[in-house]
Parts: sequence; C-alpha cells; structure tokens
Amino acid sequence: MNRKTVIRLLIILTAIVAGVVFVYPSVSYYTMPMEQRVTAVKKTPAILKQIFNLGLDLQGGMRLVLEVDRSNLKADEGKDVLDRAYTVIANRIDALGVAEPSIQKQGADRLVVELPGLKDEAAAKAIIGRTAQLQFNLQREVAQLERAVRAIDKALQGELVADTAVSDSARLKEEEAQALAERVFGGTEKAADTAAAAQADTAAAGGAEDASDGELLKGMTSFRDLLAQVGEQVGSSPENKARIDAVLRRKDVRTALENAGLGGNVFMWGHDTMMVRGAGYQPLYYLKAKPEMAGDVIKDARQELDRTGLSGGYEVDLELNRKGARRFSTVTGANVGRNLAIVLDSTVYSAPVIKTKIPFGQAQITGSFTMEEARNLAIVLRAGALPAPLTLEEERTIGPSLGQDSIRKGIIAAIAGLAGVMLFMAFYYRLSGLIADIALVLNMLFTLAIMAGINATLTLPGIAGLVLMLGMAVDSNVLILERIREELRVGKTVRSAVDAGYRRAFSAIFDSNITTLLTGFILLWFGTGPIKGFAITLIFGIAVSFFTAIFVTRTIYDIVLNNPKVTSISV
Amino acid sequence: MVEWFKNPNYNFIGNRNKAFVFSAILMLITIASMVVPIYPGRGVGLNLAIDFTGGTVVQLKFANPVAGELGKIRQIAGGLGYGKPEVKTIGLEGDNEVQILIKRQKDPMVFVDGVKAALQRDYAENPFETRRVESVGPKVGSELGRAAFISVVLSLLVIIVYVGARFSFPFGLAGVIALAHDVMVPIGLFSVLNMEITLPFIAALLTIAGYSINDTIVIFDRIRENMGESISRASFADKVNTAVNQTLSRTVITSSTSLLCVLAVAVLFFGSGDVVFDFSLALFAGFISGVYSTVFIASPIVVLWNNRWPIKRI
Repeated sequence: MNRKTVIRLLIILTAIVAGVVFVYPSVSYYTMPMEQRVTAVKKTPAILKQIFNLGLDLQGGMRLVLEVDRSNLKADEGKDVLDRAYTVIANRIDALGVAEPSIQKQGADRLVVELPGLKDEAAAKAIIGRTAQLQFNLQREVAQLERAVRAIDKALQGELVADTAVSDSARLKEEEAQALAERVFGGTEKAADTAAAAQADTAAAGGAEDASDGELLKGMTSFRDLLAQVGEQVGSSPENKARIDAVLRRKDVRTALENAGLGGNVFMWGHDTMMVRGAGYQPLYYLKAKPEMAGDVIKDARQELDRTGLSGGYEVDLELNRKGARRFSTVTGANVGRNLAIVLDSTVYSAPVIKTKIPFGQAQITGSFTMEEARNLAIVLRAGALPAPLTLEEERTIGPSLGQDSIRKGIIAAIAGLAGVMLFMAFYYRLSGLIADIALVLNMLFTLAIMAGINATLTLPGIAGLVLMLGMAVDSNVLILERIREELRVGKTVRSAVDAGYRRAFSAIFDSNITTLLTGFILLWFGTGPIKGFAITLIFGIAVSFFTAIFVTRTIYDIVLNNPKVTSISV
Repeated sequence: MVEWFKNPNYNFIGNRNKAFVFSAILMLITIASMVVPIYPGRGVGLNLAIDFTGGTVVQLKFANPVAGELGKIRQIAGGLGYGKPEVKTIGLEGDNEVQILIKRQKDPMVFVDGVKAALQRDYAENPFETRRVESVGPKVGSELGRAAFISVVLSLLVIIVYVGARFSFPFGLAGVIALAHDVMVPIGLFSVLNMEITLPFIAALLTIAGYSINDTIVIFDRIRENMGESISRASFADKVNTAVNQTLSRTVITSSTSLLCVLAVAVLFFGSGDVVFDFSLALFAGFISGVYSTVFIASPIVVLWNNRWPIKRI
C-alpha cells in the first residue's frame, strides 16, 4: 500500500471509531426500558446531550402553538409582550413536571411549546391556557411559621390537638427563630438521604389529596425534618419537595392548621433555587392567603442601574396606576419592616422588605440584582399586567402507544430498505456491489452519529428520510460502477477503468447531490417539527454520502488493486 | 456480470411526440379532476387537509370493536355543534381505531375536549385511549398553505437557476418543465383518489423535485460530455439520444433502489392512518414520473430548443 492509501485508511478507521462512539449512547439509551432510562438520566444528566432526541411523533407528547392576541394593545405596550408571555408560560410548564419541556419564541407573536411524554393533555392545556395571575401577598412572621410547622407535625403524629389560642400578633423572639433555623437545617440532610424519587407537583397548598401521597409519606413522621433553612428563608431540597406538597395536601393537616387559627395563611414555593453549601434549595414561603393587591395595579416595571450607585448592581423600578398607588401607600404604610411577596401563578418570584411607606406609586425593589435577574423580575411584574390574552393556534398530540408503533414500523422499514438495497447491489455488481454496501452501512452510521453529536431530533418522517437517503446515496456508486463498466467495455485495464470511472462520474454526482441538498434546505426552512426531521436526515445523509460513496469506496478499490495479482474485478 | 441493458439503443427522442401526448393526457386528467367536482362535498380544487383548512383530527383506539358504532359516534360528535364530522375506522380490523375529522370549524381546540368528554360518557363500558390529536387554527392553516406554495415554487426556481448556471438556460428550463410534470403526477393521483393534501405531502413534492432533477442532471452531464467529443458528425438529437441510452442502466437501477426503499415504508404504514404512508405513496408516484420525464420530457425539450435556437455552449 502506498502512503496515500494508508492515510486514507486511517482517516476512515478514525471516522468509524468516532461514529461508533457517538452513536453508542443513543443506542444503549433507547434500548433500555423506560424506568432504566429515568435512572440513567438521573445518574448522568449529560447523557441527554449525547444522544439524538426522538421527536414528539415517536415518543408521544404534545405540541402547542400559542399566539399573543394583540388586538387590545396600544403600540407601545406591545413591545415586549412576547417576553412577558414567555415568562408566564415557562413558569407554568415548570409546574407541569414534564421531563424535557421546550418552549420557543417563533416570530414576533408566537410561542411553540413542546411537552414530550405528557400524560394528561387536557389538564396541561387548561393550565397553560389560563390568564396570568400576579398578586402581592404579605409574608408571615417566623413565629407563625413555627406554629404552623408544629401544628402540622402534631397532625402527622395523629395528635390532632388544637393549639391553645394564641393571638395573631407577632411574638418573634430572636432565639426562637435561631433555634428553628438550626433544628430545621440540621434535620435536612438525613431526610434527603432517605428521600425517594420526587415527583414534581404544582402549588404547595391546595389541590386534592393524591392516591400516591400515602406511598410518598410512608415512614415519615416529622414535617420539620423536610425543611431546611435557606438564608433568611425556609426551603427544601429538591428531593423533599414532592413530600412537602403531599403533606400540605392532606385533609388532616389542613384541618389542623385551620384549628390552630392559621387557616388564612398559605405555603407557596419560590421560583428560584437558592444555593446553600453547594446544594440547591427551593424556598418555601409562608404567606397571608388573601393578596394585598392584584397585579393589575402595575403600570410599568423595568430594570435600572442601582440609583445609589454603591452596589453596581441593578434594581427594578415599579410604577403603579392611580388606584394602585393609593392601595400601595396604605399597604406599605401599615407593614413597614415586613416582606411583600410578588406572586405569579402561585409561585413567589421575590419577597422584598417594605422599608418605608411608598406614597406616590413609584417604588424600587433593590437587592443588588444582576441585570438578568432584574430584567426577569421586571418581566414577571409586567406579566401581571399582560393585557394580551394568548390564543391556542395549533395543537398536535401523539399518544405514547402510537409513538411506539411508529418506532417499531420505522425500524422495520429502515432494515427492510437497507437489506433490499444491499442485496440488490451485491446481486447486480457482485464484489463492487459489496464495496458499495459497506459505504451504505457507514453512511447510516455516520448520519446517526452526526445527529447524536449535534443533539438533533429524529422524527418519523426523519426515519423515512433515512430510508430514502439510502436509495439516493447508492446512486453515487451506481453512477461510478456503470461508468467503470463502460470503460472496461472499451478495453481499458482495471486500474485505469476505475480511475476514469471515478473521475468522469464526479461532476454528475456533485451536481445531482447539490440540487437535492438545495431542496433539503428549503424543506428545513418551510417544514415544522416532523418535516424538519426529514430535512435533517436527508441533508446529513447526502452530505455524508460524498465521503462514504466516493472517498471510502475509492480507498477500498485502491487497497484491492494494490495487489499486483488482481487484474480483474467483478463489477 | 448481471447486465440488464447491453448496449441499449432505443429511439427515445424519435418517439417524443407519443410521450408528449401521453403526458398531456396525464396533465389533463390532473386538472380535470381538480376542476370537475367528482367527489361530493369537495367541490373544486384538492382535498386539503386540516393543515391548510384549519380543523381537527382526533384518533381514538377503543378497547372493544366499534365498527358498527360509526353512525352513533358521528351523531355524538356532530351534536356538539362544531360542524359536520367525518368518522371512519382506520388501521386493521382488530385495532378498533376511529378517526373523527372536522374541517373549517371555528373553534378547533375546544372541539377536542368536548368530543372526548362526550364519548367517555356514552362509551363508559368501552374505554378508549387517545392516539393522536391534531388541531390547526384557521390562521395557522392559511399561513401553512402559503408557505407550502412558496416553498414548492422556490425549489423549482432554485433548481432552474442552478441547472441553468451549471449547464445553460435551455437545460434549466427543460429540467424545470420535467419537474413540474413530476410534481403534477402525485397531485393528480391524490386528486383522483380524493386523498388528503397534507404538510408531509408538500414535503414529498419538494423531495421529488430534489430527486428527479438528479436523473436529468446525469443525462445532461452526459450530453455535455458527448458534445465535447464533437469529431463525430452525429446530429444533436442523436447525441442526446445516445446520452439517454448510455445512462439508461444507471437511471433504472438507481430508481429501482429508491423505489424499493419507498415501497418498504409504504407497505409498513399502509392503512395506519399515518401520513407517512401518503408521503411514501406520493414519492413513489413522483419517482416513477421522474424517470419517465427525464427520458421523455427533459431531453426532447432540449432537442426541440436546439432545432429552433442551436445550442452552442452547454
């Protein structure tokens, strides 16, 4: 073998190894049963970045296109309306507990929501479709939280004793709060260790008791142990979140809280995870259930550089309408020193301290935010004033069983197509056909490897595209082999016939593949979801075929013809 | 050596008029099937799917047979007041799958939940699972229709420009006329069979365009090569005919492998109610037309052009 051939062979072998390395995670992942996949993802979340995704049409799920209805908007209001809608929808989707949700802005007016593996599509639609609810609730003092925790624990131990009447006034003692913090925090890690896989749920309070709750709470005696101190806030590690929700849903717990005179309060989760000692905790707020104000009092909210200029951070400036300003003045005047939680769709986004009475409807929320944080909070605040309803413009839902059927049929079709083409080539072109068959198999491998590498999505039309691509990729080899036959017919030696075959067939191969690629790109631009998947496999398949059908097969011929004894090949 | 075509020498170009008549008849049937309302309820035009008209498809799989219940289901779905539904079974007999389709109704999203709730109530002893729901609002529908039209036209334009640049204008024109032919054949087939024109069908048309031009380019490439060897005193028409014959074997073999693959998909998804079947059927028709049009449409048009305005450069 000459040097050039050796180098070519090395390139091919490297590509094959790389191809196998890239494809392997996808194959091993998708051949696992469902439960194992969940565990695998938990153990190494990075695995999801190493495989090609399956489209909604294959794994089942729901795709929604929502459109902002701008008909009631004034020109200046509409500017960031899509950002605001995005925040609202993203928040609700979090609450749905879907494994890999995706939400994308499309154009100026639309949001595309994809929820793979969704079970209850009617409920999801209802949650996503309702109007945004922004409100301001006062946060309760630590003493009240302490009483609530105590009442819950008593209820859980079956000692439903009404707490001796305690006045609603605050009895906050420094040591008591400190004690709570320590007790609560100390207990967490132990509880976290024993925690079962948590199933995410929507709001902390409210909602019906779930049949699976009993299972979740088995062996648990103390509510306190589920909580952790997070800064000045109580919170929970992700493992305990579902348990806390389950406890708060219980009828006996709710009765106990009511009997303790705490019926007017409510637990709500915070939106942002807080980091404490390297672990993420979700804050749990204890709020007065009746909101002080609804979100419609807000005229505008925007992020600004911190006015004092001291922190170099950002703040959020809030502007209220006339009615809101009056209400805000009363509320802030009566509650200086307390925290006022900003609640969107039952999730707390921030709970700033009221520093002073704010009389004229102009407020600043400070807290050395980064620009991103300030911007997000401003969007949340404006979301409450979202004057543009979202309308559902498109829905496509595929049941999981149909997805399974499609995968099975798709794989059979791919195998049948591949086998059919390979047998045909081997029958018609003999050894040369086998060489082309090697190219075909490699084409399939490399195409899937690229898709896994860039985390592309395989859809049902994508599988069809893969099958079709086989039929097309083989064209390059047919062109070359037909040409070699012609050259042999006019009496050339094997070597020069092979040379001429490759040289003369190239321009036709090149032009015909380019036109196919061009239409592929138009498809990519025009198509939605599944059809994009078709375009992707077609484009990569054709691109790869330049390498496999020409480079790889040529190298194999070089190796075969390098043997001086070979004076003829079967074409 | 297996060789289906040993030195083929068919007179393709000489028989072009027969081919033109045949194609003209095909095109007439296609257009007539769209203009004459042969199917009640469809009127003039194609049987557009909800992708373009807006509407809802709900596909439900029942636990027990429902073939005899279609009338009742139609009544239940129709009674909701969203329009007149089409109800049919799909899949194999034991699948117990029903498809409920409503086009052009005002509020497609609400219909889904309504019809499922109503059926759940009336078929309490025969539970169903949801296999598929597709709802498209009228606004999205009309946009998709426009995008589909633009993309088909755009792909033809891109091809005429590319082929025109790589060869010369008459070749680009001939190629695109052949492509238009190939796109019309599946449209005609779907129109005559009253099958739905869906988004994947449009994707199939684009694929056909991208695929069929391959054959044409291969032959044009060969014509160019033969023109270069211009010592021979053969006429332009003969050179074109020779090129078609020289590439005939490749044309037939490549088409066979592609058709084989398309057929594999079509057979597996036959009767599943999945658009992948429609998609592969469209490809099947388009690919066959692609081979035919390359030989009998594109090549003769180049010859006709040359008779009128001799082609000096390719």
